[in-house]
Amino acid sequence: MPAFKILFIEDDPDQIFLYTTKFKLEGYNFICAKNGIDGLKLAEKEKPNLILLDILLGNESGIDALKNLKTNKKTKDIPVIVFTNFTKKETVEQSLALGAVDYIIKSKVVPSEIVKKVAETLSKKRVK
Amino acid sequence: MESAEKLNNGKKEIGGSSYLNRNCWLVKNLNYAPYKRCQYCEYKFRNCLFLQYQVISLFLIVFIFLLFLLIDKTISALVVITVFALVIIYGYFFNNSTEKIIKANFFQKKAKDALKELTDHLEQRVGEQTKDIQEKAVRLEKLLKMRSEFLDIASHQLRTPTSVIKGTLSMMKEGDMEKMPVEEKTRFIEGMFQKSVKLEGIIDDILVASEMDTANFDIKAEDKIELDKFVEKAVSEHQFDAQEKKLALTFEKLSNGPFKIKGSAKYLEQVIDNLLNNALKYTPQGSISTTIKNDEQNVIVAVKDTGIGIPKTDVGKIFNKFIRGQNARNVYTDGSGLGLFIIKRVMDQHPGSKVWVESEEGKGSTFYLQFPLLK
Ligand SMILES: Nc1ncnc2c1ncn2[C@@H]1O[C@H](COP(=O)(O)OP(=O)(O)O)[C@@H](O)[C@H]1O
Ligand SMILES: [Mg+2]
Repeated sequence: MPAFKILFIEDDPDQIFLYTTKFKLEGYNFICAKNGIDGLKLAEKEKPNLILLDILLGNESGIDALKNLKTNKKTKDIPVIVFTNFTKKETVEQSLALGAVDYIIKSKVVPSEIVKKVAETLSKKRVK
Repeated sequence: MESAEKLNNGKKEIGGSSYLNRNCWLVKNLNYAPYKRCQYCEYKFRNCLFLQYQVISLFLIVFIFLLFLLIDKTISALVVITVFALVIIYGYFFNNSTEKIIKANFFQKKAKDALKELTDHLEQRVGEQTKDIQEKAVRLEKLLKMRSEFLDIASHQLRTPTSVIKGTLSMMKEGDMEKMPVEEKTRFIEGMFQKSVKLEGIIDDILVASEMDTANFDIKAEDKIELDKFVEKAVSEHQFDAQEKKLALTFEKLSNGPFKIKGSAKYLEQVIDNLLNNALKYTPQGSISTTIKNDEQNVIVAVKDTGIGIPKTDVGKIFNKFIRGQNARNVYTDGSGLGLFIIKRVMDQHPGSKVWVESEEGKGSTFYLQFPLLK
């Protein structure tokens, strides 16, 4: 079985390093983009099985990135988990309304837990 | 109707069907201008009791006059006397009561007017106050929104290094580290250390910035400061960091002074410290030159670096809280985006002072501080 491909859209190098290491240890094919625009391009090209998206990409809003991913024909069916430390209620609601499958706060889960969440989401997707 | 008109001494109003009643008690006694409408009987025959009385009297006189001519004189004399007596009695009471009614109507109307004026006034006052309260509520809401925005972003800033530290520790705990090559382990530990340093810096910045973020942040800009010595000292304190990064850090006076200003030493120290820290952080190679000069009115400090510069799209935003430049974030992850916000807020509290930046992306930036000269 070929490894699942995960796209991580995140601008902080330390976090990229942390989660890349963990997901690779768990056998995933883990690719990263540093902003929403690159993220969309990479999603179109690489067709990942799932996308982890940060919401505060510096001054750029991850909400816009989510909108773009969900309106693009090639990427709209890829499940997106918002994975961020931004806890504003409106942003959570907006993300879910835009079609994110989950909204997970980074500091509330350790790496092994997010790996588990990702695995769960992927298996649900396959059952469908 | 004609007689009524005559009695009225009537004057037809343009476009109206009512007649001016000069006999009206109001017209006579209360100096109502004759062209004004009587507000109680409206000059209309059917409404004016006083007028009705006059008309009835007229008809009676005509009727009696006819009786005299046509019928037996003694009977008519009796009738005349009776009728006159009745008319006089009736007229006396009627006149009195009419006057009373009109008077009562008048005062009632007056009271109503006064009451209406009062309620109008009251309504206006209440309206004004409601508006005032609404404005205050809007301001408060804005402040609360600012506050919650601040908390949203501040908590994000705090969670980010925390999540990395926590994540790394949990991987260690779960035995992931053993599966890693040495370089990765070192990178992890180094990353954790940096994030904890960052966390501390953010906490400090947030404390200062949240103090400054309140509407009534007010510092005492009362110290007399020799700005040249002040800046020179700050520069010398950063020499060690500059040498570590192999950057030339210099200080120079471009004019002879004086450089005396009035300000808050405590906060201006932080301002200059933040400027030098930024210059050091965002300059990978080259130099940082700090200069001071004066003219008749002002003292100007400039911190010029040969660093990464600021993209045009970011220049307008970087003095806002938590805003970090795109290029800055790509290269340097540590930073809260509060340094320039703090600088701006402090400079705003120094009357006649300002801060601004000139920068070209990829070439470098110059930050300027200007203060009025203390004479
Ligand atoms: N000397 C400089 N050279 C280039 N960019 C700068 C410089 N000083 C400030 N900036 C830009 O302004 C932003 C805001 O600065 P600051 O408020 O001090 O926050 P921080 O340094 O924590 O990011 C920085 O992120 C950076 O993009
Ligand atoms: Mg700074």
